[in-house]
Amino acid sequence: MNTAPDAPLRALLVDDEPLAIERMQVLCAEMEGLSVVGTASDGDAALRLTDKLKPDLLLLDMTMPGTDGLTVAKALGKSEDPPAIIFVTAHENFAVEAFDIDAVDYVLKPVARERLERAIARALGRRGKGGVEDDRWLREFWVPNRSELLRVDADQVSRIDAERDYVRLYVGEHTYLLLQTIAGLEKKLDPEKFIRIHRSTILRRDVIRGLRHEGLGVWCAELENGEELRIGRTYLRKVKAMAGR
Amino acid sequence: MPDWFGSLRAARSQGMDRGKPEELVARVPFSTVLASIVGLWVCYFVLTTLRAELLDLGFAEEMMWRRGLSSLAGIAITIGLWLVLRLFDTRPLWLKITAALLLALPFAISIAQANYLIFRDMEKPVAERMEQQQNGGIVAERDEDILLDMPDVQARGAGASGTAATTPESWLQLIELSIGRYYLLLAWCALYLALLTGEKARAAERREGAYRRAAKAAELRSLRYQVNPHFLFNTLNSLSALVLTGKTEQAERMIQMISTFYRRSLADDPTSDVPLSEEIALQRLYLDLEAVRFPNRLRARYDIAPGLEDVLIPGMILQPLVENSVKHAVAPSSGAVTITLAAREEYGRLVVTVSDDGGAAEKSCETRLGYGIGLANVRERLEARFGDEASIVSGPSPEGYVTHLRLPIMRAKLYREAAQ
Repeated sequence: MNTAPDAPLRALLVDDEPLAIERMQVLCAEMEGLSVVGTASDGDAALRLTDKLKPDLLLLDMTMPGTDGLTVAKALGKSEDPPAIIFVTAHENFAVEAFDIDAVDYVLKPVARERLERAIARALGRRGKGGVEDDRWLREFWVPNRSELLRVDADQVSRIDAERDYVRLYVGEHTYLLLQTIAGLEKKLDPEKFIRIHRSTILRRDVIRGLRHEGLGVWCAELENGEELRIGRTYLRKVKAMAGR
Repeated sequence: MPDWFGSLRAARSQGMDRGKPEELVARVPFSTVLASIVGLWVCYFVLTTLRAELLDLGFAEEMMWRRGLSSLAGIAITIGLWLVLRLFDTRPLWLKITAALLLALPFAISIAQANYLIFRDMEKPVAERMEQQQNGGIVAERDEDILLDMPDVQARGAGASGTAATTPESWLQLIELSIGRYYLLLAWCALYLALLTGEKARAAERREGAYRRAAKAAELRSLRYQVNPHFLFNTLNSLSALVLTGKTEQAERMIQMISTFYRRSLADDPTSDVPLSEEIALQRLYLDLEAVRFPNRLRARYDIAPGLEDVLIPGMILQPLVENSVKHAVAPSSGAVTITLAAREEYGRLVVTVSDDGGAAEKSCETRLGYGIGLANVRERLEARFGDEASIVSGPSPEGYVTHLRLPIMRAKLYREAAQ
């Protein structure tokens, strides 16, 4: 993405459904600051065309025969000067790997014109910013919210609860459900910022106000909002270490 | 006495059809009670008559109508006993037994009293005749017999005055008769309590049956397969493409297909069975919609043996299987994949097969792990609906993947008759 700032974004459309490609072509043709330079109907073709056409942006379907969207994005992420990626998918729940990819946006099929405009605007805004700061830890979530996917900074999440196959993210007043295991998520979160206190609870460290001994070796974490949460025995040592004892 | 049992059975089945509030309180229906009482006294009547014939007590005609009258009185008084005894229907067993033991006594005495009044004027001639017979060498049995119309007549012999129940002898006679009738009434009380217990057991069974049916209906409802929501979004995406590119006719056709598919898949009673032809039509609609998404990759083949169209199968039972084939065979494949729906009869059972030839597209069958949820749903639904009568076999085939369902053959007409 080292083209002139006012040059149109050169986009590659990737989807295995011909009608989905057609639809995106129509939408993109109406959009300012965007020109479609090619289309691909599977992951391998997408990688080939990206190499050949050097697009600025990929509108990338997730499920495709052979190489799927996530694999394409990961492969491109390793390349020099990778194109920006907007995922276009019917699935509102992704695998945890999807968060690792520094996608500009995730939009849900069938994407509305305005929503696509916003995504493109984001891509334009990012142009020239280049690489990412710190790739090691998860920095953002894309959570299903009504008919859209919402971007949430990882730092905004104060608490994560496991609920069967899902995790619930607490963000300010709201909570969001994600199809994810808490263990898988724990590995992706910056341990400087988050700590697991229970089999089914992860807390952002700065929401813990104190620890309290309930007796018989049972400890609780007191939160900023006055809530008290049991600390699991397995996690007690780590939590105490955080408190410096 | 076949009639007696017949009426008992009839009374029972009537009881089964009664409304719900009645079902909860176990009561022996009056017709059953009446049948048991009449049965008891008819039995008494027949046996005493038989006995009189065997012993040749004579006066057959006079004794017969008196016996009939006394049996009728017995019936009326036993009904009276029932009217009191039924007040204890809902009380504990020990109380019911105590009540029966105590209540039977006054009723036995009144039966004995009625008997005494009815047979009083026959006492003398019978006694005389008996004496003659005894002299003639015939010895009549004279145990403490509940079948005696008039106990102890011989003992008192012809010398008994027999005019009123005020003499000590007539008191003794009345007590003896009462004891005989007391046993008879206790026997009936035992029968009544047995009937009541049976009625209670049936009420409990009915309740349990109702709960079981409700639980099964709930289970079937909960197992109702939800069409993968992504199917709707992907289909709407295709539809939107048709609209945006101005293919209005195709778009209209697709809208009709979507609405037909969803109307059928959402509106049906979750537990209902549908004719095979309807289920196949629904799956054809689904595959036609998916074919819009995958125009060059999805092909469908239908191979339904003639004569099976009206065989009933649980609605949407094929949906998870067809969905699996689209998701795991068509979607990951760049080439064309054929999904085949087949149905045939085999050893008197319906065999429905869903297969695909997407195997070549798959590196290994491990990637079909996602099959599990859909298959488990089909298996659980079949089990809930048919128990051991149905089976599902599923696995990789040389071409791709194949699932066989084996179901009992139910036809719409027979099914309706059976349900009635």
